Amino acid sequence: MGVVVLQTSVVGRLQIGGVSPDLVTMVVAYAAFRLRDNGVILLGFFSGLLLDASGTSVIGLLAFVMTLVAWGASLTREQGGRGVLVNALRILLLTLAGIAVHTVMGIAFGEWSLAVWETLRRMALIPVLNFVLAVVLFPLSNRLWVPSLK
Amino acid sequence: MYEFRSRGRTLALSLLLVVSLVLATLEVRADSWGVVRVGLGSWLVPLQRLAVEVFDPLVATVEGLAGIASLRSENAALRAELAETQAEMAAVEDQLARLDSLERLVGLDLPDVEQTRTLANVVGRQVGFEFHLRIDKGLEEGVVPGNPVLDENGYLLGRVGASSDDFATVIPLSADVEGLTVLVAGSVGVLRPQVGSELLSLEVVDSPPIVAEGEDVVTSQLSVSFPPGLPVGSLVGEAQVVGSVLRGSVRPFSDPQRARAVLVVSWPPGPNE
Repeated sequence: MGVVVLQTSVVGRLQIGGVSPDLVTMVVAYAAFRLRDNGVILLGFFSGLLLDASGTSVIGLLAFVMTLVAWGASLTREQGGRGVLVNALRILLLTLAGIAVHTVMGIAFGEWSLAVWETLRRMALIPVLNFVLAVVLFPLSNRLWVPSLK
Repeated sequence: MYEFRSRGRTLALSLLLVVSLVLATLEVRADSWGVVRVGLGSWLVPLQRLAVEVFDPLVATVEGLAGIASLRSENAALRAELAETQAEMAAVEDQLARLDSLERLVGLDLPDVEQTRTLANVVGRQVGFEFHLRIDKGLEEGVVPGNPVLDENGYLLGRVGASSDDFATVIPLSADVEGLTVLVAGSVGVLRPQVGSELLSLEVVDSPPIVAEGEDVVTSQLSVSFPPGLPVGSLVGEAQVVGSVLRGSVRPFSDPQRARAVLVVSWPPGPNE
């Protein structure tokens, strides 16, 4: 809940190129180092639900997206411990997948207008921001990572 | 054991995905579903406020640091925008001044001038050996060479020098070599331009009058080219009598450099006027 509050109040103001880093995805990705599979998936679902509730989008969309991201995070848990760049790349791909799924689901539920360039800009910039943030926060991820956690 | 956990994970994942989709569908289809959002959202608002209070100084600092980089380019863009706006404002002010001039010309009450009048905009100025103005009315509007031209105050500005279909050139008094027959203190004289000066040279040959500085000079009824009684200028300095000739300088009332709109008078009048 704390991360959702930060994401929706503070992080949203720290914009680079008109977009902000996706802190919730990062926390879910890092949580996969410590939580078991069901815990990560539940964390993803409820964080997405809170994001839905705090915004104006259709309730359930981000819950769906973050559940899938959390599942992806739990699947790629082992790769996250292979070094700074691999973990950053993992987070980049998770963020990219999350935005892509959110876009598709948003269109399906009539939430998104097909603003192609805006979508592409978000899909390009937010994962890169998260990648950079993941590199910066590598010492933290290194401490969190626990080998062979299932 | 591992298989059991894997099944549990798949089950939890499927269940939560289905719940998400059901929630989204209800949100879209059910009108009263917004209560859930209000309920959940109301929990977050106080926490969001608290987070803003706590992190605001930090965010402001980061924003400030990030803003410095873009500040210069933003400044340059704003300066360019300001210059553009100022230019537009100047253009609008010029148009307003022109409109004011035209309105004054329409309401002008001229002595003994009942002839056709044509309003014209000054659209160009040529400064060189032959200073003249260009106006946007020509032969199609009845503007012909020799027509007197007045400024917005009804002061004589000059005469039309040349005219084409849709524009004409105006020779100001200070550049007109033909001279002008005027009346000063009841005596008839001639005004001519002086090279390199904005003042006009006045010569009164017959019965030089007693004149004082500031004496008004108007067009004479003896003039063929201009209607009588049009204000031309005023005497500057003391006039000198040399023999039987009075010589002095006259400053024209009109200023061709500032004229935005002029009035062209059809003169001499035609047979029907």
